[in-house]
Amino acid sequence: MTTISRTPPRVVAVPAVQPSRTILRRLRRRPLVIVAFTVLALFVILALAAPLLAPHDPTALIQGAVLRPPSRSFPLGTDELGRDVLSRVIHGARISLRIGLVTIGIALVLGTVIGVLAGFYGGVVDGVLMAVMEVLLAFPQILLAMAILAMLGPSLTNAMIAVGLSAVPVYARTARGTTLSVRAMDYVEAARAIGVGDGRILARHVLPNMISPVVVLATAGVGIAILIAAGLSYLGLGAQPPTPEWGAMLSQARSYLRNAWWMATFPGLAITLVVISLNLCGDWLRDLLDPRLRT
Amino acid sequence: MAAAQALARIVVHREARRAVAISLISLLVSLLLVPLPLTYAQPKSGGELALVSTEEPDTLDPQKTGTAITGQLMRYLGDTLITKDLKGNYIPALARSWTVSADGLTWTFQLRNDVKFHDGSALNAQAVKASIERALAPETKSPIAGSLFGPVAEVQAAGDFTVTIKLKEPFAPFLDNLTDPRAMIVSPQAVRDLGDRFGRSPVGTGPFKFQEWRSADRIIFARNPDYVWAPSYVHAGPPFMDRIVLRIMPESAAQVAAFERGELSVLAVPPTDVRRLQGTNKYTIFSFLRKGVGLFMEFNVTKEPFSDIRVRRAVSHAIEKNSVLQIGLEGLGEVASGPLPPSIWGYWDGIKEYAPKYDPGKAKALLAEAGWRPGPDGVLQKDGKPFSFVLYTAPIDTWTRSAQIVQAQLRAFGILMEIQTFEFGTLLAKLKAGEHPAEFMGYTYTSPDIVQLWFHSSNIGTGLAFSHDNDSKLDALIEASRRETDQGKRLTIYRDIQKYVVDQVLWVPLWTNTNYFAVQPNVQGAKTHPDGFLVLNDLWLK
Repeated sequence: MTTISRTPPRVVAVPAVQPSRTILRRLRRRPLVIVAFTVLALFVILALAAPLLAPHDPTALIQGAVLRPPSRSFPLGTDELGRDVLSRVIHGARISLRIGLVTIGIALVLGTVIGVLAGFYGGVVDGVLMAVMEVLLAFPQILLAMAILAMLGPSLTNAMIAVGLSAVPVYARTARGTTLSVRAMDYVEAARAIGVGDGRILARHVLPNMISPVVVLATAGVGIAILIAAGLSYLGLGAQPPTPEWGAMLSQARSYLRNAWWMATFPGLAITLVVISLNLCGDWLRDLLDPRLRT
Repeated sequence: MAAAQALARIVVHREARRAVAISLISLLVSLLLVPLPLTYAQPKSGGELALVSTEEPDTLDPQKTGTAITGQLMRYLGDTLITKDLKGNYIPALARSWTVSADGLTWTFQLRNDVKFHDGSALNAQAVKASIERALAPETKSPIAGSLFGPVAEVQAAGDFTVTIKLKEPFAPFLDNLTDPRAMIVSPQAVRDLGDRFGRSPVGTGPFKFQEWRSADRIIFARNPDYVWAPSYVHAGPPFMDRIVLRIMPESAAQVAAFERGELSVLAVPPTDVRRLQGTNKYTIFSFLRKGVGLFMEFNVTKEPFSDIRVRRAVSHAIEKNSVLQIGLEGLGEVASGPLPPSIWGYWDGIKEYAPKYDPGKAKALLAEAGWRPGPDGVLQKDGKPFSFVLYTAPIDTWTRSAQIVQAQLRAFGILMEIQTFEFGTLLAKLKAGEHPAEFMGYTYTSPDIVQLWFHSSNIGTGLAFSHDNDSKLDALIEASRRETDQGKRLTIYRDIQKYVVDQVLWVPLWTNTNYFAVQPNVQGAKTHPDGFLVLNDLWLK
């Protein structure tokens, strides 16, 4: 026994990343993805530098500037209370970005923990955890999020928690699947054979090898999360006034569709662009990391 | 003539006021849109009137309902013992006549003998007795109808068509309450036969009878061909239209679109579309001031910081109501001053002058007196705590807009107001429990007795007393208003109640909206009732 090294085989360290030149070459073949990345980068800049870029305070009611169409002083017009739509859309980027990151953070962490535990230990642990997940998966995500929100009460923070929790089952199932295949690997067997503890095996061998499909899922998931959170705010369950959340802005604009097209158009456009871009990037990342699709 | 009277107010574009010429033209146009009085046009039978509602009724049982739309529908499905004409006078309905004893305790009603329920059973004294007793029975758990009849000691069928109601004590709102559609007489036979299903297939005596209810879609009433009479302000006999259909459409923008496509005959116009629809000059538009205060801010006097009357008064001086009205409601209404609007009997005109006005100086002085001083960030502080509170409100567009204006106005005084929206049912439960510091509310009611629901301490935790103010003086005033049967003295008591509520700053009344109804050009003979509904008996379709 003592002759066998306690260091696991080097297989573990092989990352699922390609040489950067290949990535760039692949990217050139997908111009749409480049556009998507650019759009995302733009919105990230908007989000990070919102207070610097927004011409007005997004919640300030500008006297005598109610329902102004787009003009030089208000490029995207003003809303029914006299607030600058451009400033609200810019600050909305900040909120949506936070929603995307927080919700997916929750889903990723909880989903991975549950999935890995279920996949690694199997048996009763797997049975119980996955049975719960299957039940939750039976509900459409937005319905589940609404049910959770109904318990927590409407607010942006609660909406983020609800959207995050409602996404957990999807992540748990993916994590469990990949964990099952990793668990059967020889290096895990080997590690166990030399008496490595469960905690160490999980942290050093299982987690690094099962995580990439979950991360891919998360990239596409950010878009879905933003969309669902916007939907919840549209229904009045998420962001509370005067928060410039895009879904809430749409909801507020719906009674002005006939009189002030700009109120709904620009936040709607922002949601569309960000979600489509995130989906395109997510797809591309999946193709890149999925060995079966490699050329 | 009745039709002309009913056109309570012809709406003239507000923008048009700028130029006399334009306003004259629009007045002429509006006049052209007035439907001709019935004597000039021959009503045609048949057709279907499409109405629309944002909410779906909880039940169509008038004695078990808590939703406003059911009350509206019962105007068409049922009849009450007495009713009000278009001027608000009490006139006979199912009761041909009525008398009251000198002590105000015994009311005797002589019923019509030619009325049948939609199920064919006869309306007689026994049926009226059974119907009222059902409304009062504890097992009916009536949210509204039961309390309408007041302190009833006994209902007697004194003859085939004579009913006597004995009260335990004088009850001033009694006559008015009897005109409430939820006090309609229901068929005891149908109640017996249908049991719990009565609420999905109600049976009354009205000009229309129930036909079908498709959940989340529509409710259909058909003409009652056996309707041989009618209240004096409309023609006797069955209505002209074959059917009325109530479409259920939660989204107001969708309602407007459907109306403009011609799918709906009548539309309660959302404030955002009033001017545009007026501008098309295609539709007849009726308007009347809502019977109730459309929006007020109410304080929970048992919780910090509004347990201090100086703080409540300061807030009432810090809000500039006209901006809230102009932006929140697009100016389609009037600023409110007290707990009653001018459209409800009992309103005291002096309240406009009496109520606190926008006065930044007074607001600041009162806040300082109460110990709130500006902190480094401009937010008021007291004992190291910032002045911030949560305003509970419902997802109603005009309320949300108004809340954001109030929020900005209070911010200028260093008061942080957070807005928290709840679905209406949840909101009411939270307000009853008293977990709110302050809330936005509104109401619609036909009589000043509404003050009992809002302010009497017996309604804390159960009714609408969301200020949670347990004040024996206010209670005594309200009790006196209900006992006093002399109308002149009642007016004085209501004046005192309005002044007292303003003195205590339980509310900051914000606005009362004007309701707008748009009617398709093919709809003839439309009248609005002062109690806020469309009279359908004389209505016909071209």
